[in-house]
Amino acid sequence: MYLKNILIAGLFIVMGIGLSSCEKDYVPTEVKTTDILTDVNPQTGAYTYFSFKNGTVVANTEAQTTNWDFGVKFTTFIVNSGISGPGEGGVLIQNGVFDEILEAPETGYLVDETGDLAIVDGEWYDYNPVTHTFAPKAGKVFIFKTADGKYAKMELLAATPTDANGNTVTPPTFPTKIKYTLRYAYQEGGSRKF
Amino acid sequence: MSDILRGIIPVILMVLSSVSYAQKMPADSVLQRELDEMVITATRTERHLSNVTVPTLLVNARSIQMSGNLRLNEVLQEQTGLFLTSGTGSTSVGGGVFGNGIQIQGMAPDYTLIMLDGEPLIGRQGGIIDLSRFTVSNIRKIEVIKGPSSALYGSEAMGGVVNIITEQRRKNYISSGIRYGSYHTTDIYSSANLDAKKSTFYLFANFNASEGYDLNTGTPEKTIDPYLNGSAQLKWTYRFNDRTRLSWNNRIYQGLQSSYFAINGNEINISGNGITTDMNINPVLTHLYNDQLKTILKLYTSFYRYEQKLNHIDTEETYYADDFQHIYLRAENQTEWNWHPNAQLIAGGGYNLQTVNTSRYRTEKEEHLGYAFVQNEWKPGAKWILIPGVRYDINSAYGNHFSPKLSVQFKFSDRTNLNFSYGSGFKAPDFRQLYLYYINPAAQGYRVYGASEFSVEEMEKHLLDGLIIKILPEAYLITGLKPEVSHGFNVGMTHKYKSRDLRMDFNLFYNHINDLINYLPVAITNNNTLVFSYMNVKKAYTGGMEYNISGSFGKGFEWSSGYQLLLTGDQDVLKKIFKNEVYGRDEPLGASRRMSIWDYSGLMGRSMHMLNAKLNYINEKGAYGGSIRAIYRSRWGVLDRDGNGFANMKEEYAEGFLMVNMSLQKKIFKNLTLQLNINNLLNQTDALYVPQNPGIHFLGSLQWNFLTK
Repeated sequence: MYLKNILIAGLFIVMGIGLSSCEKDYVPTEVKTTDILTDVNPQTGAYTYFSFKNGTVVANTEAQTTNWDFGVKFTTFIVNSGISGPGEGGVLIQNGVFDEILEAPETGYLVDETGDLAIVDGEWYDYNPVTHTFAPKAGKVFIFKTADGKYAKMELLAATPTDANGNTVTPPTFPTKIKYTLRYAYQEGGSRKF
Repeated sequence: MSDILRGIIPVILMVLSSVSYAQKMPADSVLQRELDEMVITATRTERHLSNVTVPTLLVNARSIQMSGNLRLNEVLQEQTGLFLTSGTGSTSVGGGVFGNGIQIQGMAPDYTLIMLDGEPLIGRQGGIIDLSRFTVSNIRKIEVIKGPSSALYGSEAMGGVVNIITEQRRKNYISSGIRYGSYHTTDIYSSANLDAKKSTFYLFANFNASEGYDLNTGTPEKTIDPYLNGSAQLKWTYRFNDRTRLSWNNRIYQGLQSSYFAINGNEINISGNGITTDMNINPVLTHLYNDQLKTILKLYTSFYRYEQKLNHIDTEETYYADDFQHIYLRAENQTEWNWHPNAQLIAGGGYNLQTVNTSRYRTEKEEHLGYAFVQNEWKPGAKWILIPGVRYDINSAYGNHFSPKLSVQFKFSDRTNLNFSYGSGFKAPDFRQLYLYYINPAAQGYRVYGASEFSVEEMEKHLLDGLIIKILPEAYLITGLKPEVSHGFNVGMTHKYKSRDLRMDFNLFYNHINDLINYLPVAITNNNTLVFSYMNVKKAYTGGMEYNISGSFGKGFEWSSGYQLLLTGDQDVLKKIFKNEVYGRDEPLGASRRMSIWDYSGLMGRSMHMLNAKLNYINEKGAYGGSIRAIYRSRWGVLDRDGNGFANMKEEYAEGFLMVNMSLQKKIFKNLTLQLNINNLLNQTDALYVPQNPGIHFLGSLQWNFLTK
């Protein structure tokens, strides 16, 4: 009996350790929505860098650091990895409903390579050359591995043409910026679960 | 106006029209309408409307005159099942304002053939012939065939055919009119018809101008900028003898549309003009060998030019310039042979050469077309009409195409006809889809290549020089474009009630369209912008039902009402929805969710419901009268904010509208008629999606008719 109790107790301890080791890096995530402004000119414009950890845009001077996770200029997205930055980031796009994606995949993250960026232009938006507008496709969920190896999921809600101050403009006025409205959840604990 | 009211008014209109429908028509009505008018477009030869086997709409000069409408787009938008579309282009991108086209049976304006006196009109901008180019003051009647008619008319006659038939009578008369109204809209026309023993001349001239208007004072631009245009027509018919006749029809149109806009959003800094020139020369020789055999030889030339030049106001530097020229030459013969008392054979063929020159193509492009058609109308017994027909087109750009048709009429009784028709329609790949070579000068720098200008080899070369960084898999699928093809079915009934002036028609239609041409990304440039080209990729359908009912009552009252239900869709989108692969947002910044079949609204730009009701009155002596017309159109998709290809959130639709137009007229002297029009009584406006519709506006006119014979 004594031995049995010890065994059961031991089992509980092992399970407890196991469970807690599983739970250790999971932190409940919060879904946030934010706007970022990016240059409309793909030639002369600069990238806008975003950090999931801070939930804000990071200064261009930090381009060579791991302080940002993705960058965007007009419709081109880069991740902090490969040719684009010193980080260990990556990205993949999943078709699905943002809220239903509860865990980031273990593998499959692409990094930026010369001539082959991880996010293919045109994969996530629908461009209309007649009206010169583009709309982020619904149901495209970007799953990021951040610069420091954490995970985040993101959905683009809108791409709005604006002037330099972020005020919406409509044709025939040319926009100088595109305002992306994004919805994201960042798992700061390091777990793949959201 | 509230949504509820919008919903109720059409119902009231319907109730009103059924109330008047219940009224009995007195036999001595002064307005005996021609109950069985002649139409030509359905079979390429004159037929009584009651013997026509395909859905046909006829608008006569009298109803055009009573409506007080000035331009063809205004007349057509008041007819059942014809949706007026507004151009999708914006002047800021140099695409020009494409103007107003019409949808027939839910098919876009690109798929509608517009003819003037039986000859096709050219001058499509963005696929659309701007119908506001045509004055209605010289129109005798307009015939609209709904459903595919390519077996008779070839390419473009997929949704249907609009045939504008201009005036000429065996009478001497002079007629003139002057109209003036809101926004300094001015319209002057004059026509003269001289009939001699051998010759008949018809001369016509029109001048039309407006200052434009502004529906949204929050922007620096006007909604419609000032414009002016003029057109002239000379028609000469010479009768060599009883059997041989030459008719010579010349028409010229020139229009100037000014543009003023702000690319900085604050103040007007770009200005310029677009000048449209449209010319037709149309000699037709008709010879009757005997009662059985008739032949018609037609030589048709048409020229269209659109020159646009926009400048920066301060620096006077060119902002955008384009010069588009299109020449169309055609020779055609048609022979009609009554080979049996109950059968008529119509056979013909032709050759057509077209050239197009624009800065958006690399070189001048030309296209050759040869074609032949045959149709046999057969009446096996008094109750049946059977019309099979085929047409074969051989085209230098896309190869050969075969278009069959079959239509049947069964005269159920003296008053009831049942009609069935099947027709194949096609639309040849247009010059733009084949030859466009466009590099966007703006910062985005995207490119669009027509399918004939695109080559994978060139892309591979650019891969080496660094201009292209990636070729997408679709690029390897681009081959020569095929025509877009439709199969259309119409089943209908026409019925005349005992009181002779009441009639009703009902039609069910279904059009299945294959090989629709769509643009798609094929490569990525070093700026990370896209290269687009064209491919036959999509399948779609349009279907629905239409009814028209008309009658008269009292002394001089006439009324009519029509309704169209339209359902459309893209087969590929539907398939994906069934596989749960389509997502959408319920509001602009909402989260995505899976779309179900109930979220699907079909093709963009289509209204599910359209309803009209009209009431005309003219007193016994024709001394005074008036008309009131109401048109309702339910909402239609205009934007795709979530990239799923259809409208599913409120913000992706243009709101439905109800427009009421009214006119009153009175004869003030023997030959002089005064007319007052109040259009858009309910002041419904939508600056963005219905820019061609100003708010409530007025027009007064004086018309003088002098008839001698």
